[in-house]
Amino acid sequence: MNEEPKDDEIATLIRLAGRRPAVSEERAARVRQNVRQEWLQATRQRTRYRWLAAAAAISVAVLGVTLARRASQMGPAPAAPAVRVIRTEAQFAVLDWNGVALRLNRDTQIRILSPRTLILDRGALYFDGEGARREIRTRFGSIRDIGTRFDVQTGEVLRVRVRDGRVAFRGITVDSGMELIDRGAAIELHAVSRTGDTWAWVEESAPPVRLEGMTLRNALLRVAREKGLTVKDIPNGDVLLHGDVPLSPSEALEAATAAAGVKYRIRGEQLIVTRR
Amino acid sequence: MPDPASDRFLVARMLRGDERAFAEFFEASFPALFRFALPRVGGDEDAAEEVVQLALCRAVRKLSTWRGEASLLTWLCTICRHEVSNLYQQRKRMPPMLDLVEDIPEIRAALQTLGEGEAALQRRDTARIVQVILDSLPDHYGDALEWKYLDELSVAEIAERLGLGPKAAESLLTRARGAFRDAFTAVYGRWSEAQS
Repeated sequence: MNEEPKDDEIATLIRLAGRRPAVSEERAARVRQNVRQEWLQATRQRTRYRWLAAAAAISVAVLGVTLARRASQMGPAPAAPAVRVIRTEAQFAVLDWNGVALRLNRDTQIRILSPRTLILDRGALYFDGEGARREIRTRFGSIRDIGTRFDVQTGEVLRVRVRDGRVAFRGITVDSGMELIDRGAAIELHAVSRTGDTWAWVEESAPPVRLEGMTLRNALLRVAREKGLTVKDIPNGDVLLHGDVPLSPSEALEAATAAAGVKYRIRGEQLIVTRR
Repeated sequence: MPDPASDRFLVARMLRGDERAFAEFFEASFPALFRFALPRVGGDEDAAEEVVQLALCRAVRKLSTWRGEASLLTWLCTICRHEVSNLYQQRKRMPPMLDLVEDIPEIRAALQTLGEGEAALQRRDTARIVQVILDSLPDHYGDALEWKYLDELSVAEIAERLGLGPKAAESLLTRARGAFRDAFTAVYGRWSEAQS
């Protein structure tokens, strides 16, 4: 048949083929929810920043750069144009800074100058953004990310810890697994763990994990990321998980491994998953 | 035939965060992609759901990289093929031996311009080609043709389902028949060439 089918032939062909198999509403709804979440996240990273809801008494914490110097030893705080000031008190804050996920520790204050620059006045901030090329200004100087996840704390000293990627501070590059401390009189650089109790506030302020529709692999990769761990082999990684209860990373780790019939242990910075 | 301009406009709206655009994208893509994946994962619906979800998640993350050389559905099917391949690698199993007409190189080449489609001489293959063509058509054309010829709905009933006026529904059906005709002829012509 090399001629174009006529209308009655189209009808015949479609009746011959029968109806295309339908997909269940439940399945479609489940996939739609997950894909939509992914799309929303990707959209936020591409568009101008919008703030995520956090706890009640919110200010904004800026990247956790700990400022140690006494005020008299420091230069004046960078002059800022009219900006949004965000201050936390007793609660964490989680916000989207033009596609970069920021978590602010308690008792932290930042000032947002622009989509690419903010000032950390006090407190601690966790920065999670790839290739964002942002600048965080402090009384000690500016920290520039080079595509990374890092924590900056101000207080008695300036402390910058890098989990992934690298940052630059006053001509010094701080790589993954390193910590820079500026005590005013001297700057120290030494190795630091990417995981453990000293990162506790970062994990505590993580967005909740909902396991519904996630595979074990995706769930454990997310948990590992929150905890600063690496994970390689994940048996039963394709097992689909269920449950719409918001969980902390630790709770999600327990629930996911139990549901998938695997067990885990943490050795150093590695999450090791084995079959039961 | 999928309208590249329509796909580009949809993608542009999605990149701007338009929720309705996402809804249109998902409604148009998911069923077709699921039906694309299902035979390629041995009929396992849960596995098909997983690879399709992974493919769509990857697609929305990489949406800005779609350049419009192929239709959006073709692009999604390509991503889905990779996810199916990954699935079998992870499971350390061989994928099912499939004899899908849309995977014949000449037919696949023909279908690149349509999204997906197949030519077939056998009844089973013809049925599959028709269904894949229906999946490849834009703007509810496939649905409208099924409603018309399988459910025997009236134009008024089809109009109501699509939220259109009667004249607009009639016009859509005319365009749908034309698009189906063009697609089937193009695919069948290529099939005939492959067989000669």
